[in-house]
Amino acid sequence: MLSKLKENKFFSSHEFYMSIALVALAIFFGIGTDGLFLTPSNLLNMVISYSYLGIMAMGMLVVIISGGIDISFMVTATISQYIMAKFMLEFAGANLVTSILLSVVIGVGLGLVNAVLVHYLKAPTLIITIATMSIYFGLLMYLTNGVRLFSFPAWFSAKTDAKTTGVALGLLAVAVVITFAIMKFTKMGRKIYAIGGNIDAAKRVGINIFLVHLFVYGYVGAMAALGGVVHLYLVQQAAPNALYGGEMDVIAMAVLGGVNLAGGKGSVGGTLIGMLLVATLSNGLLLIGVSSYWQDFFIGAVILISFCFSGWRNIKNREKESKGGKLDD
Amino acid sequence: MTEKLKKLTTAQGDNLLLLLILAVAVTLVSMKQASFFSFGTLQSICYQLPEMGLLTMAMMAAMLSGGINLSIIASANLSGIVMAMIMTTYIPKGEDNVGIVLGAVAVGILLSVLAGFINGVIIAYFKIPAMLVTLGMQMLLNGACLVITKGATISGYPATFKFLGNGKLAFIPMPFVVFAIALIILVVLLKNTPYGPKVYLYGSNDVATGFSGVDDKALLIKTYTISGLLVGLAAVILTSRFNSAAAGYAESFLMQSILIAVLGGISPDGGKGKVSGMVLSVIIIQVVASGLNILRISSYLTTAVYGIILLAAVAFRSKKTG
Amino acid sequence: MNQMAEKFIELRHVNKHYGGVHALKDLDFDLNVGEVHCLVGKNGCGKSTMIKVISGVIKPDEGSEIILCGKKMKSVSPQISMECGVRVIYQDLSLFPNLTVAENIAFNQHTDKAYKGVNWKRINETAKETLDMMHISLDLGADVSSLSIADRQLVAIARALATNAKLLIMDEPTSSLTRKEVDVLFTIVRKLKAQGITVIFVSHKTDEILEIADRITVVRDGVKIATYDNDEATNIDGNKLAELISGHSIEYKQDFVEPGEETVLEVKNLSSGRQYKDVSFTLKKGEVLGIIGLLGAGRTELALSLFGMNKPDSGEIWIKGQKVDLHSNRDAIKNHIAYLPEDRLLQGLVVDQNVEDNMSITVIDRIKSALGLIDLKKRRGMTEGWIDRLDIKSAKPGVNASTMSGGNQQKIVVAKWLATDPEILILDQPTNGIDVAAKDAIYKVIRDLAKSGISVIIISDEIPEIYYNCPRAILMHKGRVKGEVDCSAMTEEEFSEVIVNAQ
Repeated sequence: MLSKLKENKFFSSHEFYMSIALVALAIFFGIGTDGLFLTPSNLLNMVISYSYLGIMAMGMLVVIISGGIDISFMVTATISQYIMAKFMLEFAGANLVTSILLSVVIGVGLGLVNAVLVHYLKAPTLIITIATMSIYFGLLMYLTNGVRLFSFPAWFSAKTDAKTTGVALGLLAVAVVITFAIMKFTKMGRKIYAIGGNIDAAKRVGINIFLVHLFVYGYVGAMAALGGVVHLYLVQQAAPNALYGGEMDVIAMAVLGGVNLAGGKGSVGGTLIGMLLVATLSNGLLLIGVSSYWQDFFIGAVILISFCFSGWRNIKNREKESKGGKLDD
Repeated sequence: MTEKLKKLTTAQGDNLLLLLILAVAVTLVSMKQASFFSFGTLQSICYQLPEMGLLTMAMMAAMLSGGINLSIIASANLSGIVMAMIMTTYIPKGEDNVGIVLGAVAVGILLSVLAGFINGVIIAYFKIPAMLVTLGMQMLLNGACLVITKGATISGYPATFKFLGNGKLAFIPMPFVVFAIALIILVVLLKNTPYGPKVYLYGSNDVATGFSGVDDKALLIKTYTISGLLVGLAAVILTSRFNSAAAGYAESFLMQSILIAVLGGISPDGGKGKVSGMVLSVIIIQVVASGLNILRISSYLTTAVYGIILLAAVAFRSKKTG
Repeated sequence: MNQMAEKFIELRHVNKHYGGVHALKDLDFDLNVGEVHCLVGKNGCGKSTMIKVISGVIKPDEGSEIILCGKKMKSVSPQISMECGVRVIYQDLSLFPNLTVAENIAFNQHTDKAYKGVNWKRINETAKETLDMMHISLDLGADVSSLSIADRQLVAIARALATNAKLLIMDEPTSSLTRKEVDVLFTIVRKLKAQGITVIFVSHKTDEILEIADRITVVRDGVKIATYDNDEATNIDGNKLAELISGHSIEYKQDFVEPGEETVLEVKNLSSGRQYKDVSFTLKKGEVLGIIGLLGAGRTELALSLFGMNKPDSGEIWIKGQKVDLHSNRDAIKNHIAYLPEDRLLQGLVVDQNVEDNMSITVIDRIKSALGLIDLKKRRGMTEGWIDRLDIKSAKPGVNASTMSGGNQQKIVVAKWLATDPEILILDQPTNGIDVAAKDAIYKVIRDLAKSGISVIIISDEIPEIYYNCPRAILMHKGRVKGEVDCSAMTEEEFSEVIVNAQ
C-alpha cells in the first residue's frame, strides 16, 4: 500500500512535500506563539500583507514555465503603481476601474518591451531583464526625484477592514484563478508549457514563439502591475524605491512552489503554497519575537536548504529512473 | 599569413574593437572637459577602477564556468561590515593598530571565501543552477548584514585600513596594486595552469568535460571560492574608500559587473572570455562613468545608461556568434 | 515494377544550393502511394535535404519541379505540406518531455485553429483512438520524459497519425531500438501501409532496410544513384547497397590481431540494478573484444561501470590480477582504462573549443612543471604529435573543433584518450555517423593499437563492425550475457543469425 502511494504522481511531487513543510511550520509557529499565529485574524492579516507578492508570483510562475525569468518585474510594478497614483491624484474623473486598468496597461507595455528584447537578442533572459530593470529604475528615480505620492482621493483612501480584505484577497483570487485557467485550459497556456519543455519541437510544430513571448512577458508585467495596485492600496503611498529589492521573495515563492528553472514544469497550487511558506516564515518569526532584521537571513537560509532538498531529490529520482529495481529473470 | 589574419578577427580583433571604443569614449569626454586626459584623472581612475575590476573578475570567474554569481555585492558588504565591526570594537577611535587591522582584513576576506565555497558546494553537489543558489545566498548574506548592523552604518577606520584604499605604494595607488596582483594571478591561473583549460571546457560543455576525467565538483567549488576571494579583496578596497560599511551598499555594482563582463567578451553561457577584454571593458565603463559625471548626469540616469549599454553589448556579442 | 501506381509525390530536376554547396543535383524521385520507400545514403549525401524539400521546410532552386497532391509546383510550402498530409518524424522525435503522452499525441489541437480551446476530454479521446488504431497501449497520463525511447517513438508516430497523416517520413527511427522494438515498429509500419499511408524510411541499417522496404533509393553526393524494387527479381543485398552508398566496392575481410597471454581485465558477476545482471568475461592483452547487442542491452551502462561512472551493485572488476574499486572515471584513468563515449558531439568532444585544449584535457594535470604551471611546449608537442600520428587532416592546435569533419573529430577524441596511456580502451559505437572511408581509417587505428599491446573493447550494434574487427564477441541482450562467439570460426551470415537468435 505504501509503495503504491510512493508511485502516485501527486504524493511524490514537490508540491506534496512543500505542503507538509507548510503544515509543520504552521504547527511550529502555532506552538511557539501560544496559538497566536494560528488565530484567524493573524492568518488573515498575514495573507493580506503578502497578497501583492502572491499576485506577482503568478506572473513569475508563467515566465519561469516558459523557460525564462524576469527580474525587472518589481520595477515594472513600481512604475505602474506610481503612474496610477499620479493619475488618481491629478484626474478628478479617476475611479478604481480606470486606475487599475491604467496600471495594468503600463505593466503590460513594459513587459512587451522585455518580450521583444528576449526574442530578438540571443542572450539569457536573466541578463536582458537585469538590463531593462536598470533602465526602468534609473529612469523612474530620475524622473520622480524620489518624490513620494500620498493623500489619495477618498474613494481610494477610505480603507475599512472589509474593503482591505476584499481588495487584497479579491485581486489575489482573480490572479490565481486567471493564471490557473490560462495555464490549464487555454492553448496559449499549453504552448507556454511546450516552449518550456522543448523549444525546438515547439518551433517545428508551428508555434509562433514570438507571440508566446509577447504574452508571457506581457503577463508578468500585468501581474506585477496588479500586485502594485494592491500594494498601493495597502500602504496608501507610492514610493519609487519601496518595492525595490523584494524580487527575491517572489522568486522564492515560485521556486519553493516547485517550479523548475529550466522550464516546462510548475503549478499555480505549488506557487500558492510557496507564497504561504514565505508568508508563514516571515510572520511566524516576527510573532515569536525574532527581530525583523533576521527575516532575510532566515528566509535565505530556508531557500538554500530547500534547494538542497529538492536538488538531492532530483538526483535520487534520476538515479532511480535509470537504475532502479532489479532485472527480472 | 591568412592564419594570422584570421586570428586577428577573433580574439585580438575583439580587443582591438574594445580599444577603439575606449579611444572614442576618451575623445568624447575630453571634448567636454579638456583636463580629462590628464595625470590627475588617470590617478583618480586608478583609485576607483580596482574595486569594480575586482568585482567583475569575481563575476567573470563564475561566468566562465557557465554560471553566475549574484551574491558578490552582498558578500562584499558583509565582509566590509565584519571588518568594520572588528576594527571599531577593538581599536579605540582615532588610534591605530596594524595587527588588528590586518586581522580584520583576514577575517573579512575569509568570510567571502567561505560564502563562495558554500556557493560552490551547493552548486556542485546538489546540481542547482548557479543563478538560484547565488540569489539565495545573496538574500542570506544581506540578511546577515542587517542582523549585525541593525540598519546602522559603521564608519571611522584606523589609518592603516584607510591606507589600503586611499594610499600609495611608490606612487601607485594601493587599490591598483591589489588589482594588478589579482589580475596577474588570474591570468596565470587561466592561461598557465590546468584550471584554465578545465574551466573553459567545462563552461562550453560540462558533459564532455566530465567524461574526460575532470573532477567537475572540485572545479566548481574552486571557481566559486576564487570568486569569493576576489570579492573579499574588493570588499577591503570598497570599505576603505567609502570609509563606511552598511547593508545595501553598492547595489548598482552588481549590474555593472555583469555589464562589464559581457561587454568585455565574457559569454554568460560559459566557456568564453579573456581577462584582457575584461580589463579594457572596465576602463571603458570607468571612462563612461567619469564622462557622465562631468556632464552632471544624475547617478540614476547613469544606471539607465548602463542598462542600455548592456543591451547593446549583448546584441553585439550575439551577432558575432550567431 | 508498377509504372501505373499512383504517385504521392514526384521530384523532377530538383536542385538545391546551400551557400557554396550543391546539395541536390538534378534529382529525380518519385514515391508511390501506399509504399514503404527507404532512402539510403551516408551522412551529407543529401537525403536530409531531400526530406526538407518534400516536407516544405526549404525551397529548392529555380527550375525544380514538384508534383504533390496532383498539382505542379516550384516548391512545397509548409502549408501545402500540412494539407497534403506530409508528416516528418525527426530523429530527436520533437516531443515535449514535460507533457503527457495524451497531450503530445493530440498536440495539434493546440495549434490548429479548427479546434476551439483546450478540451482535455477531447485530447484524451483522440489519443486513445490513435493508440488503439496502432494496436498499442501506453499510459496516457505518463509524462513523456518517463518513457523509454522506443515508447517515445510510438508516441511520435501516434502524433503524426492523429493529424491525418498521408505520408509519414521517419528519419533514422531504429537507431535506438532493440530488435524486439524494431519488430513492433515494423508491424505498425505494415499496418499503416495496409491503410494506404505512404512511408519514407531514412536509414543506414542495410539489414533492416532490406526487411521492410518495398523500394529503395540510394543517394550519393546529392545525386540519386538508383531506385530498386526490393524483391527477388532485383536481388539486392547488403553488400551491394553498401557499395552503392559509399561509391567504392567494399571488400571486408577479417583482419585479426593475435591477442597476448596476459589477462588484463576480468569481470566477475557484475550487476547494476535494472541495467545489467551477472556479467562475466575476460579480456587479454592486445585483444580486440566485441560487445554486441542493441540498445537496451545494457552495453553502455556496463562500459560506464568499467569506466567508473556507474557504480555496480555487486560483482567484481579485476585489472591485471588486482581487484579494483572504481569511484569515478579518474580512478579508471589511473588504472589505464579509457572510454570513448557514444555521442561524440555531446559527450566526446567540446565542440566550441580548440583542438589542443580538447586533446590535452585528459592529461592536463600530468603535464605540469614544478610550479604547477602547464608545460606549454610539451603540450604543443603532444598535440602536434597526435595530429601527425593519427593523420588528422585540417587540424591545427588552435583551430576550433567545430570546423572539422565527423571522422576527424572522432580522431581527436581517440587522441585525447590515447594520451592517457591506456591499456584498456573501450569504444562505444566508434563509427556512429561516420562515412565508410573514415570508418576504415578508424578500424586501422584500432588494429594498430591492438598490435601495440592495447586491449580494445568495441561496443556496437553493427554486425559487420564487430564481425570484421573482433575475433571474439560477447552477445548481450536485455542486460544479460547471452553467449560468447568465436567470429573467426563462422561466416558473417552465421554470425548474424546467432545475434538475431539471441534476442
